[in-house]
Amino acid sequence: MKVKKLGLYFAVLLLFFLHNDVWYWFDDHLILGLPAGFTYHVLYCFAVSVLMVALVSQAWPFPDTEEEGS
Amino acid sequence: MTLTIIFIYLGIVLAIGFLSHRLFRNTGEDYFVASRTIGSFVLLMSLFGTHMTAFAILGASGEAYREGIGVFTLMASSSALMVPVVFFFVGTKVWALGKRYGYLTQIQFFRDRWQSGTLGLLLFIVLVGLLIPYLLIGLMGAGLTFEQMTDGRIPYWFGSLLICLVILTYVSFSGMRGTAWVNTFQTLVFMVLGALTTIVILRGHGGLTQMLAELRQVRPDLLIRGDKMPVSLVVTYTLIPLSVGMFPHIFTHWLTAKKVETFKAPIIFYPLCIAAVWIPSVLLGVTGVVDFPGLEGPAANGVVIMLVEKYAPGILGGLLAAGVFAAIMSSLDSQVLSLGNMFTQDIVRHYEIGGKMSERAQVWWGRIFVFLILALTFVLSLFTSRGIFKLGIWSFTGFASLLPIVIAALYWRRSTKWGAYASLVTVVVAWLYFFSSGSKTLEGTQIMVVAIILPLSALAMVVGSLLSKPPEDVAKFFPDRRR
Repeated sequence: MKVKKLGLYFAVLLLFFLHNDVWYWFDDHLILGLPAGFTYHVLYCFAVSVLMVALVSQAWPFPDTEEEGS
Repeated sequence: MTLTIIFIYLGIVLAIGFLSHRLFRNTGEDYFVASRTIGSFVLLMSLFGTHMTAFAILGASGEAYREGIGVFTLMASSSALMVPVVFFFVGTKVWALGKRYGYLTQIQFFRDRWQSGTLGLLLFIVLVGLLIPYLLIGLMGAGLTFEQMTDGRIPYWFGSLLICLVILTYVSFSGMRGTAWVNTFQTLVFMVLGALTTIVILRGHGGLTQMLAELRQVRPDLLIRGDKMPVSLVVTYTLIPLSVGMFPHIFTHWLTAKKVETFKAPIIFYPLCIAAVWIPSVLLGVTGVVDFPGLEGPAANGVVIMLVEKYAPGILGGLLAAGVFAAIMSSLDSQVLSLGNMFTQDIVRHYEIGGKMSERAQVWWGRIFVFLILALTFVLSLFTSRGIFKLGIWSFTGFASLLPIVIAALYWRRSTKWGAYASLVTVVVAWLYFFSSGSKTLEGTQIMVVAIILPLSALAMVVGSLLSKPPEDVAKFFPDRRR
């Protein structure tokens, strides 16, 4: 379980670095109808959302049904 | 037509505020944090609405007009990652401690964590100082938008005053619950209207492909990041969204959650909400380059309004105006309420000014401070130069640089109040130094100064803590969470 959590935290860090898509920095061709750099970051937002699903389902730092403080 | 739609919109906002008043329990906890009963969808919408200001619609398109599609990289997708990560690691823990120990403000938490009233007072001064320009920008934006969208029929001062009165009414009536419900409505409004405006304008233009082909002819540089937006700028700009970890109004919204699982939906869907708002803004900005070339400086911030007037005046103009006000008010109301909350809890109640405070008195003090803050901000907005808009990034820089304080408070048992003091002083000194230099990037580079101040703040926290006596009695802040 700890390995899974660390793996997901590493994925967050990886996404931070992947935010800098240097390979598309000067690329103006269109992907899915938008400039490559724009499309990449739109898809990046979706990728973040998917990672967040994994984080909340696999690395949630609280017990599942507890109402904290009650 | 524009005015009619704006007034209908404001009427709906007031009606929601009045409706939510029916659930009001007249206690401090209910007024300031909705008795911690807010569910997932409303939390997502109110957090997102609070975070997105008019900049996300008007300012973003103005920036895209000037800098191209790279604005989405710089400001949107960076937030899409950093904000939910802060919610996950900071927001949930803040909620848990707030629920357990009854915190209503950031300062209450920090005072308890560090066992220092003075530190709490200093943090209060700094947080309020950083938030006031943010408030001012919102109110000035409202007045300018009214003036521009009505061709001056509604003067700047009247537009600002009208927004103040609407916010004052629903915030005073129902506090945080009304604010959260109104924010939910407002967020849906500006998300839907942003998309609708983009579709109508692009269709009027002959479609997205046609617009991009024309843009390629006149300004191909706007289709890439290129040299005008170096990687160093983008990397360091990614630190700016960390400011959300210390915004008083976001902190207060965290405390409203019904249970910790309430955070899951906001964490998952936040990046998609950001995409939904910023894609239209950036596309409209670059579309404006084709239709209205040569706009200089702040004139570009009105490019969306100009596009609407060209392609779909009348109803759409009114709806767009409603969307802009939705974005402005959804931030202003939370900021004003959180400041009212801070003055009531962290000054009047903490120092027992006027004696011990009943629940009813807390609510009334909160209302009085909401009124005073709005009144002061309105008066300031009449005399402040438009250069204030540049203060926005400085405000975010300050908040982001304070992040080590909350991180250490939540995750590092060994951290001490002296580390927190050192971090706070470092941020204030460094911020003032760079602010006085006038440049948000390090001289001769494209490195945002937040990339300097934040690490210095973290270092000061570590050094200050390790050089001081280990803290006692902090176990309550670190409950066992083994799974």
